[in-house]
Amino acid sequence: MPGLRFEHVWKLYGRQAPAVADLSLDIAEGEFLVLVGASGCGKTTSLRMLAGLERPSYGRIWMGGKDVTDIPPGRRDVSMVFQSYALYPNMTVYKNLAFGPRVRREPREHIRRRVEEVAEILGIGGLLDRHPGELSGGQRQRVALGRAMIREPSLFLMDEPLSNLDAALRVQMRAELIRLHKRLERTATVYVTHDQVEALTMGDRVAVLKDGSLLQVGTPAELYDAPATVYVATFIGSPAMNVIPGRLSIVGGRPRVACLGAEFEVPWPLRPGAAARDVLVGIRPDDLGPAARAPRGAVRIGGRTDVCEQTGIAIYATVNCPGAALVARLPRSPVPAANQPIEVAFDPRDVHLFDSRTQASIADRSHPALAGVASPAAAAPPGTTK
Amino acid sequence: MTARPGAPAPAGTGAGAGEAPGPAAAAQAPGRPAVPQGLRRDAERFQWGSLALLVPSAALLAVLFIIPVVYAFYLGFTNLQLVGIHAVDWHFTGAENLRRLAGDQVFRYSMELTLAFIAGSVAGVVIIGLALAMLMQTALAPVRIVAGGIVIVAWMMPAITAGMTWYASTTAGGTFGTLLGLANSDFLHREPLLIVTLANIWSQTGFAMMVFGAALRNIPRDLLESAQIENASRPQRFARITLPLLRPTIVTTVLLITLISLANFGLIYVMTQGGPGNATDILPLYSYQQAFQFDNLAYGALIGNALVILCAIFGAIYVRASRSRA
Repeated sequence: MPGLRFEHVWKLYGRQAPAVADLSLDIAEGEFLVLVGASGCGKTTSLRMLAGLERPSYGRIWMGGKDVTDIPPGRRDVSMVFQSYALYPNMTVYKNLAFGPRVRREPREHIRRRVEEVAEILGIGGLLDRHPGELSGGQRQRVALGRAMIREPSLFLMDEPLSNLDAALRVQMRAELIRLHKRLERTATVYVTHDQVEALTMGDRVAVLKDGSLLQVGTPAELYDAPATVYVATFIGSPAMNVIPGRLSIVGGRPRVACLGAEFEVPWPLRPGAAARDVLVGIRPDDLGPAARAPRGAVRIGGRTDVCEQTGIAIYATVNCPGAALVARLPRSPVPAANQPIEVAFDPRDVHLFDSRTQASIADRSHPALAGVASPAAAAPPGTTK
Repeated sequence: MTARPGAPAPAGTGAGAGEAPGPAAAAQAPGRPAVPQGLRRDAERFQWGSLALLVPSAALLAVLFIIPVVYAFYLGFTNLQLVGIHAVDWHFTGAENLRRLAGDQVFRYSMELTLAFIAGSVAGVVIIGLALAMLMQTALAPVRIVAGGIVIVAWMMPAITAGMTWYASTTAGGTFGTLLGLANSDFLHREPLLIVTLANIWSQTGFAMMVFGAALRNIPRDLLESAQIENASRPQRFARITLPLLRPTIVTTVLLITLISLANFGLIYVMTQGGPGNATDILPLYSYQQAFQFDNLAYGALIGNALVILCAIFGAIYVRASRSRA
């Protein structure tokens, strides 16, 4: 089987908590996989283990059907872009690009052609005689990328390659990286970032890590629509999901949730055996709007406005309700005044429920009604509710 | 306030005329305000009051350093002696001492010894110091601490102690000979220049190791890891990345070791006093011998002058080497 696989991989440093704990993950040939999480979640360590720069404490790593756990970095056919770019300051751009092929003793003429080709693709042809110190951040980034591309590896590793760029350049490079990845058809890319926007926009699939453990892996839409835990729910999406305590009860075989003084029936299937318990109710700010525009059957909650953030296309307002502060999305005008009474509403179909003890989702994701959430359009079709 | 001449320049004329883009042209680009003229508030100014604060240290420097050095330079061209008639009645003799120096076979020999001693010391210190520094990087912590401590103690040891230790170890019946089962062989007598060079290397290596250790820690790990992923072998990584990045440090270290070795007078004096014969009579020792053993103070001073010029030449070469790019 081509592609790669983490098989129960652990990485321990001294007596600290494990940097990576029992990571098992398959990555397909040509896939763009993003490892995302807060700093210290083990994403960079996982990447370095793929590169061979770090040896797993336990477990195995497979590439293209071969066990590469003990194979040194140079013989794994991977390229890596470092967060710092790691350009050799004593060499010109040309020599930086030619470094890999040269140490691998490829013919001189072939190297020259390859360097020019790659420089052409990345638009750095005019910089070949410069030293890295004479380049701007974006140019260095391209050189680092070019150095990784020159090898035509079967696996591309990127460790927060865009984090040192300014915002506008980052958005532009994001698109270029995706284009590049599409170009290298058989090359899988593993991309590490702490930025959930980058993760959602770039990844074919996204793996969310926390404290060394893999919490969830799936397409961006799956992570957004069906987060498996509270952490994933609040980490993915911006502004972050509102999470409020509630109480699940089963009334006449139907699940009902009480929270913020309101009560509503859960219109989608729960995991088998779900009994009455304390739950955490998740509502995305984008699913919480002014009550006046809410459809029939929406749950209404009264509160007072607090801080309003204008984003241009909408306003995200903090609404102080009895027992919780919720962020809701309001139309861009009229701008609500502070400390005014307001009623907001959400559709029970858009609610996420988590067990308050285990933090895990109690939605039944094997049920056809929720298995379809991978494609957003299919989310909660009307026929399946009530 | 606004009527300063030249300040309200007509906007756009400079840039519009297609002049070379200088600061003035940039300032007059359309839509940009003209840069005000006159003294800048943030201009650097000389503060006369600072002279008063500099006087004490300037006086100390002059009395204890500059005047003696100039005076010693002058002494090189006189007939001053330590004892005898010329100790009291001495005068400027022009190029007399220079002629003597030109015909002095011992001076020529001493010069060759000095160059050999410096070359050997510098090569030994840099290579061993760098090797130790690199080994230390990957050593287990206890090994690193113990070995590093020993090397640094060797470096901190006074020249007299180091010299006596090496003398006792390498002379007939010394430690090395006994350990090798050659109790009667007198290494110091047989290969005097080699032994004193080794002693000097031994006493300077700790310094080089510390300097290289710090420089190696400053090389970003990413660079070497990136090369590792490219499948560069250990020697390739060393030659193409580590060495070029260490170059400025190596040049500085070479210069320092050169100067420290030339000043390491006590070490050789304790071990051989320049002997046997003149076999270890490097310039600093020869200068000392002429001045204080043969009483030719002036001639000794002239040899000292030659030594200073030699150091200056080394310095100039190293500074050039550190500037040029590979």
